[in-house]
Amino acid sequence: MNDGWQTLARIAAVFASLSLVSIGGGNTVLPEIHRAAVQDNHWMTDRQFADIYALSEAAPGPSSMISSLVGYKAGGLAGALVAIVAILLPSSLLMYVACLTWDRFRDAKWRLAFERGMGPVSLGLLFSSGWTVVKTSDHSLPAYAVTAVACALLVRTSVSPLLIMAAAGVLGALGWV
Amino acid sequence: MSEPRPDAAPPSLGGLAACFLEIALSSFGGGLSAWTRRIVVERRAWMTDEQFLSALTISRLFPGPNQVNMAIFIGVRFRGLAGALAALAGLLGVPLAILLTLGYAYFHFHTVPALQATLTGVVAAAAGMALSMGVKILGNYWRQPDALLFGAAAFAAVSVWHIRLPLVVLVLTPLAMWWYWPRGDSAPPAPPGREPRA
Repeated sequence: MNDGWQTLARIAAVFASLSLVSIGGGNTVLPEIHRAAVQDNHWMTDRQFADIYALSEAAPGPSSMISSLVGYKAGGLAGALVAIVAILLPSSLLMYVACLTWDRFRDAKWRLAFERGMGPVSLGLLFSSGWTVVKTSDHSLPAYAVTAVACALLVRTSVSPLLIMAAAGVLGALGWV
Repeated sequence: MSEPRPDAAPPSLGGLAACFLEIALSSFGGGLSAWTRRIVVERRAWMTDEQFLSALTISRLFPGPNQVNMAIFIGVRFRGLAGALAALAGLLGVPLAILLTLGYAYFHFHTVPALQATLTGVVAAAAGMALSMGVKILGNYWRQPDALLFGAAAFAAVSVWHIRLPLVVLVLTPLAMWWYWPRGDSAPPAPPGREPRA
């Protein structure tokens, strides 16, 4: 029982500490979630991390939902709920305060600087997240090809991501990836 | 927050929850903010396009998933804290149940070879999806060496030097704000980043 509580506390600490730095739409914390789940706490393997990332992308809902699956593997259903609350609560409280006050700072210089400066930093962090998933997934030549084609399709066309993942799943089932 | 449209009645708590549940389910496989716009602006006429864009900008700037922040913004605007909670419940409840069911199935059956092979393909595509988020907004900054430098510094700090993310954000955000601080008319305007998949 004591172990259970300790695990939940650990899950809460890991995700709560990432909430306020999850800039750029919440996807930028992926490298940190990976480090916490695989290296620091040994909750899962690289392969499992890549798999649950794919699951969380295929399922509906906002980013950061992968946190609930990491929490689930570490501490069951309670772990899943603790993880999702911990990653969302601090940033949501900040957003709540921002909703009430943001208009007051319409012409503030720091607001303009903030709006301009966050983009370039997020850009680099998003590449770090992409790199984390590439690194943790399988390293076969056909797999790299699927990754490149999927990326190109998503950037250049409006093909549904779900369709792309389904097609890649079929290729995998046929043993071609 | 801008004024609500005079001709639109404020939605009830149940209406907010139902709206964000619809958004969450329509967006199966991505495109959340396009769906949010279609449902909130076009179908329900709760906001104008301009109000929606300003809400989207704030949602992207602050930490947290864009759609979660958007739900809070719209919920607070119409019904205060209770509205935010109702919108969040609508957005997160069903997707969480679906994902946990998938997770349960995965952790119990992932040793089945056919499932493993299928997932190998899906994971390769998901990796491309993760990369595409950065590639998409790279186009906005292509001709801005200073922005690319900040981006490269952030990437190298996390992925090459393995510095913890909180430290990277705490150092680079003030630096970037200082660099982009408005100084008369000389500061180049940076376009807002296109949204990565939320």
